Amino acid sequence: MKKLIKVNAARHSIRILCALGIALPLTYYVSATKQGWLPFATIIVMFTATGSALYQGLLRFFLITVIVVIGSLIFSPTYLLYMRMYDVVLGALVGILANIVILPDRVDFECRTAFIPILQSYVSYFSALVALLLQRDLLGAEREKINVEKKLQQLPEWVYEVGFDVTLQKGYRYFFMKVGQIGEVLFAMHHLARYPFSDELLNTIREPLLQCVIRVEQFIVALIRVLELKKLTEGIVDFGAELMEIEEKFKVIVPPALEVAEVAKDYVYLTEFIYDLRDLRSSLLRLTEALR
Amino acid sequence: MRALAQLQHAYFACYLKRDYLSKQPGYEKILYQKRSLLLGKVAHARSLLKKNKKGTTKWAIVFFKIEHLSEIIFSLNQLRFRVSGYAIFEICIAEMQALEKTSMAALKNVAQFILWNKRAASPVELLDKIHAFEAISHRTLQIASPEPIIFLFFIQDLYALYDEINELLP
Repeated sequence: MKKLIKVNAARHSIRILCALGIALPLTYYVSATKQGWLPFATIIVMFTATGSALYQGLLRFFLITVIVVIGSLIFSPTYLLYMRMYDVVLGALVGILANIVILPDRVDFECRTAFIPILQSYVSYFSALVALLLQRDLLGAEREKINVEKKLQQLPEWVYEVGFDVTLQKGYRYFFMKVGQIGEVLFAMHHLARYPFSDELLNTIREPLLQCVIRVEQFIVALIRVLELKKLTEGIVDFGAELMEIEEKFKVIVPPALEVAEVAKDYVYLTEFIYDLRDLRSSLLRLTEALR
Repeated sequence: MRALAQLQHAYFACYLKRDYLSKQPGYEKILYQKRSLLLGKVAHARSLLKKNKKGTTKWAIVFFKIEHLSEIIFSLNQLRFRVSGYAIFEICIAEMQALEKTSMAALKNVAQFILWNKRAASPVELLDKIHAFEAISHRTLQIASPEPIIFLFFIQDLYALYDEINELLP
């Protein structure tokens, strides 16, 4: 039961049931029309996205009001309008209050649990991409890509909903955007890693790149620990030093003035791969800053 | 392919509309939706390929190429994170618009070819527009941009896009 209460959908269902539990007796004892407008309004104002209970509840209330007013003015006597409006207002009040007070949305918990699986899949995808680059392991990268694709579709899109908690929206949307950006960086790296680079070229960056895989894993594991609200045993280890080593080793072999010379595709693609690595690092650092 | 074309259109809106930086969350929401749509279609196509194992070699190759095409589009559009000001896009707005138009047309051509096996025109126009962008990049962007190398990456990815589209067409 305790686990069930943690699930947002279950909490929402319980909220709706409780609100109905209040609305139905009210219909019997207090309702003016006894036509079911009260529980109808209660339910409609409760179908809101996570974190937007008040704003979207009010929006739905205004929508029902407009429909009731227009419908009543056209099809029935005016005194019925007042009675229906009395029921709608009461129903909406019950619905909105229940949505806010009874087992409210745990936005932070939902977000944290939604971001952890995608971050975990990024770790394996990144190491699979390095394996693709260095050992031509196509299947491993494909397998991990499928996993990331699946997880990317399960991100908490409701942070973009209109009326999402104003105090949280900026930070959560930023975090969401950065998590998505990392996915795109990894897809971009997949395209570059498919290119058949010469072993000679790859050997120059092999060692620091493998070190990078370990560092990225440590970095993301640390991020996940923070998201799980666990204490970090050590600080977050950045992979800036490894990246610098890759860049320095690569600079020795790359022709000067890459941007103007008609250089081989190998060099441009590998430079872009390293640049993507830099983008990955910067996005991870931004995620860390956002969590502070 | 249509989902891919929609995603490409959404990406180019970030370069062509001046309010991208001030209204970034709105644009990113649309991008997320388009990306999810594409990923959903890819997953569906993959499951269809798995189900019908007979005679799917041709489709498996097409699917592999489309997957690669989507990766190229993701790589191409890393540009929006790398350019911090809109001013740089104002220099090449006409070339960007032309690139969007021709790349969308080329992607739609591929979709039509896959769907109806209809003979499609070769994406020469796209190649012309890439050359035009490359020319303005050498003339102006390499000088005006604080990091000229990002446009070199963009051009390389455009050529990769052209090659992949060309391979998909007869």
